[in-house]
Amino acid sequence: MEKIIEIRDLKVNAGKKEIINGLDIDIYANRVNTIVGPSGGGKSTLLRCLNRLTDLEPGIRVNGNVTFQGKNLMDYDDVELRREIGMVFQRPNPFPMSIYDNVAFGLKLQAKVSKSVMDMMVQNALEEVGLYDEVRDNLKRHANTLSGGQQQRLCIARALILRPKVLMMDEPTSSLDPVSKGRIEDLIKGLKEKYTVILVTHDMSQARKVSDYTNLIYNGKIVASSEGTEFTDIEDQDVKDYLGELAE
Amino acid sequence: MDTKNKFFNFFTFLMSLVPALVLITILAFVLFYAWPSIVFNGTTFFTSYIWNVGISSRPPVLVRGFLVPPNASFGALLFIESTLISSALAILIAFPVSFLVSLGVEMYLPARAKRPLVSLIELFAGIPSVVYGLWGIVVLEPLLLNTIEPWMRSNMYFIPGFSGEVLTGSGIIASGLILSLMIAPIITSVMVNSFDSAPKEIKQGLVSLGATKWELGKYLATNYSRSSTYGGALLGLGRALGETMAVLMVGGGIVNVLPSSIYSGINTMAAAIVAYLDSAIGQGTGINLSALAELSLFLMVISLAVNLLGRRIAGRGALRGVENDKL
Ligand SMILES: Nc1ncnc2c1ncn2[C@@H]1O[C@H](COP(=O)(O)OP(=O)(O)OP(=O)(O)O)[C@@H](O)[C@H]1O
Ligand SMILES: [Mg+2]
Repeated sequence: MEKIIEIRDLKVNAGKKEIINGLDIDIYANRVNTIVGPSGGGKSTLLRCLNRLTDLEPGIRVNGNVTFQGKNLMDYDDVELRREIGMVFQRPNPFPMSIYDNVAFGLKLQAKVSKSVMDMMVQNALEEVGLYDEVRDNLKRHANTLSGGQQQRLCIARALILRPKVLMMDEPTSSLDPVSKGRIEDLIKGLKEKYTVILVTHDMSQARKVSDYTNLIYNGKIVASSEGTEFTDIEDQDVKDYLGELAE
Repeated sequence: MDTKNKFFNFFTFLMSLVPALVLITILAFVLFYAWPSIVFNGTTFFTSYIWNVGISSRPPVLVRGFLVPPNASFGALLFIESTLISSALAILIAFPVSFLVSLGVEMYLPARAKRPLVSLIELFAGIPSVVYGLWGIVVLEPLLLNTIEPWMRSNMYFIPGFSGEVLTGSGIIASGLILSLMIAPIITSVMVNSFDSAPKEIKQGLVSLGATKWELGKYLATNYSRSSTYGGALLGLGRALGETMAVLMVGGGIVNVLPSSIYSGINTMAAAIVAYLDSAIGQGTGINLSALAELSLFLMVISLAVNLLGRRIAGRGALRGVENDKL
């Protein structure tokens, strides 16, 4: 399996507080790489390190060695990096504008694109998330008129239009109903054809459904990794208890 | 219980009318004093820049039903122009500076440093204007006179209005700079607060899609925080229009000549009212005082209009937000 991201000895501090302390993880290309772990374990922080959203949080210090496609993360231009590592958030966050403008937004920032090309790219991105048929006649509609599940797929389309290498999803279904959740899970399985997916979830059954490679984060460290979702040889009793709770 | 409640309701209703009543009373009062001047001067008040209190040593003459000193004529064009120019310059300087400062505060300061800094900025707004005026006279004017204005004159002469004579250092530039210094804290504090209150999810979403800090700020200023952006600017403008002491001190207090270049002295409405009030009160026919009252009335109307406009823009923004949430 090809590694697209390698993190070694990552440390993240907020003032005196250690959020992540010495974390190692490999992310495999064209796989669904899942990260599970208790609330407050540092999952979202880890994702924010990867696209350097942490640069915008002046109180946060990040140390360690992260390579993405063989190149140190800090050697990337931050804007360039964020186009290559897309992010979807826990709560759908469409911008207050039309469906079309939402999807076109990132591309518009990047380049001057003719209307016809933009139309095509927007359609493409919406098709990729299975939203196009639902909204094709209403592309000018305000994005807030979509259902929660549709909004989340819109946010995925908005990230995909930039053709990222990696798509990070931070508990993308935790605010959605079971049907919308199922649709997004199916979508995730399809996405790995073209993209590397990093999925953060609390939900073991979701991990079992979509995950190719699963990492368990606990107290700011990866304490276990495994192909599939079964963790063996865990020593720490707290971690065992946590897994037990998850399984219930 | 019920009657008590009714009484309380009625009483609070009455109290809610107080602000409107106060405003109307003040307007009526100023209008009453201004009336002789309004009739006597007519439209000349707005078209002439000659402010002549007349010859009070000679017996007054009767014009349009009012006794006035011979030769008296009151044209406020200079004061109006001075006010508009200095306020416009102030906004022109303060607005972009405030935008950049708020963007910097939002992007580069840790959360725990933000609050104290905003408090500090707001503290600036509380500095008495006479202090700014003093600083303007002692520090700014010599700097303008000896260094900055001569430099502008020899390097920017091709811009219309930049080739005139440098005379004193007081005037348009000094007033504009001092005013901008006074209103920038107001605008900045409004902007910082509105950048800060824009939803984190939206900010992170924008940046995740490759928006630079600059693009993020631009988006916030023109979308999420649009009403605060304009509201803050108009608040600042309102303050600049009515500011008195500082522009009285650094404006130059010129009379009967319109500014001919950016280095010219000025005399704003508020400054003129203060400067001429003393002599006007002692004047026998009362027409001087009336002319100053007309000036006050006009200043008040402009300021109110700016404030109302600000509210309407801010209100429209707020409504749009509500609609979005409902959709
Ligand atoms: N900007 C910050 N300043 C201070 N502390 C922070 C900051 N961001 C995160 N933290 C802290 O770091 C810890 C990890 O947070 P993080 O959001 O990464 O956890 P998480 O694993 O994503 O949790 P959840 O499952 O609840 O989303 C928490 O204790 C949080 O309070
Ligand atoms: Mg999280």
